[in-house]
Amino acid sequence: MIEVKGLYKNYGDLQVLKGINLHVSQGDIISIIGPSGSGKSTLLRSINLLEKPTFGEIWVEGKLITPPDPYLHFDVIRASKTYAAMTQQGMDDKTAIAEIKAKDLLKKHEGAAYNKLMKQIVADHFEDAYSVRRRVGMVFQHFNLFPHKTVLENMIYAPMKVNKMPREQAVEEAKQLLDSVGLLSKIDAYPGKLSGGQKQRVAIARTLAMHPDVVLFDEPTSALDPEMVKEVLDVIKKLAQTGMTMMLVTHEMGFARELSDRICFLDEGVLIEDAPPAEFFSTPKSPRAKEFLDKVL
Amino acid sequence: MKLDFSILIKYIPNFASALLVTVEVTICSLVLALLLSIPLSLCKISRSRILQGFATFYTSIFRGVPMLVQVFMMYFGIPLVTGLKFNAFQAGVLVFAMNSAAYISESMRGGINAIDRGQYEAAMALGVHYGSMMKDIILPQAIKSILPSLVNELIGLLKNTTLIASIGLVDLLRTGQLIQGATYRAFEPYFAIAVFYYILVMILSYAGKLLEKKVNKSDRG
Repeated sequence: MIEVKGLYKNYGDLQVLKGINLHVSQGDIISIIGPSGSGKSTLLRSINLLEKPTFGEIWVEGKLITPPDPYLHFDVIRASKTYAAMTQQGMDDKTAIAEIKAKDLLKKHEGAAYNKLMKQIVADHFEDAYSVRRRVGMVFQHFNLFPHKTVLENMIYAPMKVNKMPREQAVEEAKQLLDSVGLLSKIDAYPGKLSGGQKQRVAIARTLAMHPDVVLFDEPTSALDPEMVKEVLDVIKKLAQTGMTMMLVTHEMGFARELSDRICFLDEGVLIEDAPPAEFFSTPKSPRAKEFLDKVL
Repeated sequence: MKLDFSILIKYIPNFASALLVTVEVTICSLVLALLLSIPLSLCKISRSRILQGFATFYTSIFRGVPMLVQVFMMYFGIPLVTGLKFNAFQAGVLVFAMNSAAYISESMRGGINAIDRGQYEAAMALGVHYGSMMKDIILPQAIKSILPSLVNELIGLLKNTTLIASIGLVDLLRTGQLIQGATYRAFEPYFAIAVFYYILVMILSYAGKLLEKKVNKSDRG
C-alpha cells in the first residue's frame, strides 16, 4: 500500500533521512520510534508530502506521489547521455550504473530518450499532492484544529470542500464520528473550549471524516497532559481494530508494542530495524536500538 | 465676535447631502481597499520574487507620495496622459482605496505570517487547495487578528476623504467652505463639520469594538 524507496531528505547540508526503504501493507500498523532528531516525523510527513523528498520515491496504492527518481530506474539511467558516454569508453553496464548511482552523475539535461522515459513514468504513475492527501489522513502533535470554526465546522469543512459531499451527509457522518470518539456533546463548541485530549479526539475524527485509506499519526499524545493520554490512545486503538492502515510516530513504547504489527527503529536518518514488536523489544539486533530501549523502558 | 449657530439652520439639507457623500466615499473606498489588499498581501507572502517586488514597489509609491499629490495626479494628471476620465468621486475613491490597500496589505501580511504553520499543514493534509485554504482558513484568522488596526485604518480613511474637497466634490469639508463663503462666518460651519466627523469616527470605533467582540466569541472559554 505504501512503498518508500531510497528516501533522502536534506535541509541544506543537514541530512535528515538517508536512504529509507519501507513497505506498508493494507491493514498494517507500523510504529516508528527512535531518538529525537532521528527523522521519524520527517519520514511520516513525507508520506503526505508535507515534506518534499530530496531523492527517492514514495508510492501510495500503486501511485507515484513524488517526482520520479531516475536513480531508481535502470532503464532511465541507461537512456542517459552520461551512461552512453561511459559505456562508449568501454565500461560495462553494471559498473556504469553503479558508478552513476554512487557519484550522482546524472545532470539536468540527459537527452531526449531520457526525458521521454521520465515523462512516461510520470504519465503512467504520478498522482498530484492534492489527490494523495485526500486518501492519506494525518493527525498532528498539536492537533491543528481550526480555531475560528466550531467542532462541527472543523469536521465537515474538508468533506464538503474537497470531496464535494452534500452538507446533510457531511453533518450526519460528523455526528457519527464524534459519537464514536465520545464528543458528540461538544459538536457546537469552539476548539478553544476543549481540553487537549478532546482536541486530539476531534482532530482524529476530522481526519476520518475524509475516509482516508491510511492515517498517519505524528506524536499524537506528546503535547498532552499525562491524564489525557489514555483517552486518545483508546481512540487510536479502537481505530486499529477496524483494520485501518496506520503509521505512527510515538514515544509510547507500551502502546507501540501492544498495537503494532511492526516497529521501525530510526536513528540518524537510517532505518536500523524493522521487526515485529515482540522481536524488537525482547531481542533488538543493533546496539543503537538496545541503547535506546535501555533508556526509555 | 458673537457666535450664532442659527445661521446654519438653512444649510441643514446641504449638511445632509454632504454627510451622505462623505459616507459614500468612505464606504466605496473601504470596500475597494479591502478587495485590493487581499491579493496585494498574497503577493507579499508569495515566493515569487516578481510578485513580491511588485507589491513592495506598490506600497512604497503610495506611502512615499503625499496623498493630496496622488489625488491631483489621478484627477488632473492621468486623464491628460491616458485619456481615461475620472469624475471627482471616482478619482478620490480610487486614490483612497489604493492608498489604504497599501497600508492594510502591510498589516495583513503581518497577520498572515503570525498564523501557526500547523494551520496550513492541517488544511493541506485534508487535501484543501491553496485558494480555499487562504480564503476559509488563513485569511479569516489573519483578518480577525488585525481587526483593531483595520478599524484604525478605516478611521484614517474616513478623515482623509476630506482631501476630495480639493477637487471640488461637495463633501462635508467642502460644504463648510461654501457656507463660509456665503456667510463670512468660519467658526460655526467648521465647528459643525468637526462634530460630524467626530461622531462618524465614534460610530466607526464603536462598530469596530462590536465586530471584535463578535469574531472573538470563538476564543472565549
